[in-house]
Amino acid sequence: MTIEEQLKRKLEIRNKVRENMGESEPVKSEKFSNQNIDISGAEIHNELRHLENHIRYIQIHAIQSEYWELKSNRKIFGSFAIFYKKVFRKIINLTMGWYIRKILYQQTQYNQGNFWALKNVDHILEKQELQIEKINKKIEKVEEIDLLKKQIVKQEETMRKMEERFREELRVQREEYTIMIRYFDK
Amino acid sequence: MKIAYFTLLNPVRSGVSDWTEELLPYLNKHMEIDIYVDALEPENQDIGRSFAIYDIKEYEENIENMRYDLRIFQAGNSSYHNRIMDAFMIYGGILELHDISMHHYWAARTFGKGDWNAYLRVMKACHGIKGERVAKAFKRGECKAPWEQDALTFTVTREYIEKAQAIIVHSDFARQMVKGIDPYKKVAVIPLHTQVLDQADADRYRRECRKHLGISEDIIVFGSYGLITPTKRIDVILRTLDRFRIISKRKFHYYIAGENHIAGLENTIKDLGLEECVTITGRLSLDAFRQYMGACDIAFNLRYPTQGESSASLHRLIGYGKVTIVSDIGSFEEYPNEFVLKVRHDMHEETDLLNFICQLVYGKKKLEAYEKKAILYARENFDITMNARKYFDFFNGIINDNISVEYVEGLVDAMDIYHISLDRIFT
Repeated sequence: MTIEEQLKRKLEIRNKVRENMGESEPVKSEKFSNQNIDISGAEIHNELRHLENHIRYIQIHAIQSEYWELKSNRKIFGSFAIFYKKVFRKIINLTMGWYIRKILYQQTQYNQGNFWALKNVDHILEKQELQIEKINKKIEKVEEIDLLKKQIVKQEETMRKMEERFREELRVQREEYTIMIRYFDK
Repeated sequence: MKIAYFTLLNPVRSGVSDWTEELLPYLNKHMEIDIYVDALEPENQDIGRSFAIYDIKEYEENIENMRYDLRIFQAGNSSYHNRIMDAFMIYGGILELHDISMHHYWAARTFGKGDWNAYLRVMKACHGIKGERVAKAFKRGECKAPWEQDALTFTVTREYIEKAQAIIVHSDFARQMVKGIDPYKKVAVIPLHTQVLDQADADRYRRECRKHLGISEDIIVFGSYGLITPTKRIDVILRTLDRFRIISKRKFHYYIAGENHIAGLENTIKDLGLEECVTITGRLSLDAFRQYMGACDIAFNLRYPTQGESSASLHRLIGYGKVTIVSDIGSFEEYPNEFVLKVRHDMHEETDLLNFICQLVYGKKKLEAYEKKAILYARENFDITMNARKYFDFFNGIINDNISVEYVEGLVDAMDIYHISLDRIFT
């Protein structure tokens, strides 16, 4: 063995040992993990139902009015309180009505605008949900195809190895045959 | 120089016991030795008379009074070494590794006693996540026992190597395995010693052994020696001899000399119709064992998979001038091709084996030339007096912190530590 061969052999043995000492492997960073953004289809559906409920609430409470039914829980003084509130409301309506109605009108407009915007978002999300479902189905099919491809590659590799092995065995058999012929009955 | 020597001795039936009993009288010429053993009374009377022998537990009391310069621990891959290794982990010292893989030892000590967590701990400590994964996969039944399948990959020696003051091994392969774990560790390679015959004595000894065993001079004698386990590839040898019988009219006999641990071996011999040509001797006395070795023409010492061990039987065969066919793996790669013929351990195994047998049987002159070279090599490398001197020099080097390193070994250490590639040296 030359010095070069000796050195190569020695270093190879040492490196092989180090490979098998199994130093600790890097831990996957949580920050970049896909787990944080990975929401299931059921979760998205649930979130959309919540959104619908909120939109319905906004729709019901969108129109703002300066009149509402006046009530009191007190038995004796209740009718006096209601009377007082009605009188006071009438006075405010007569003196400040022009100002309050304008504000309520603007608030109602804003609420209705909000309602339609959210309704639009809801429509868009519903459509996206349908699209995601379609994409998921396509991904599943692609994954199936990918799996099949991998299986085919694996089988091809196995076939290639088997072919190599058969060829090697054939070579061995030939070699053995040659030995047997060479020494037969010597 | 005074040393505490932790070892096995007979009646513990281990190769380490025989080997130590042969070496100790030669070491004793260079240094004062106290022997520490595991409780049993030594069988060898000479050893008992020449050395102070203590139980391992007495070491604690002796530390102050005896003032040892060094502690030497014999480490092997069997449960006989439990107490020696426990003492080593407490006191530390020079570790002599007879097997570079201690996986069987650890498996028997932990998993074998139902302590799964201890096995997992040691695999993780020595081989990190990789070791932990393999251990868990084995527990789930997803792979075969790692000590059977991957003993050289998962050697489970890291803790011992890191603890050791210095290491002694018996082959360069083992040295590189140790350096792979700790490139700064002081490591000495001292080959296993053996009895070496003269060329003329070898011929005479062969004839004497044959006469004594009642083996005719005109038949070819093949042999496998030592504990007969599946790793010795006896089935491969038998199939090859079956083919050899088809092509050759030469009479031969194959002796399987040693205790048989292969279930159904007799049936395999019967199925191949080789009953007339094969003998399983069973466990033999050392003298009978030597005679069967002396009587053979061609010896087999195949080993696959291997624990990275050096083979005492192989050294003994080389010392007797025998041509030996081995597996081309681990420490066996290091012996000269001239008299240690190497077969590949893959699908070529049987063909290589048949080819070598035919070459040797039909080229008598070649065989004699091989024998001469074997004896010369053994004389230069396996001589027990020379080996005892090597031990003394190494111990001295450790005490005085002055270890001499061979040129190639120094170069490979530098390349390894400073990450110098081969291209930079040879371009």
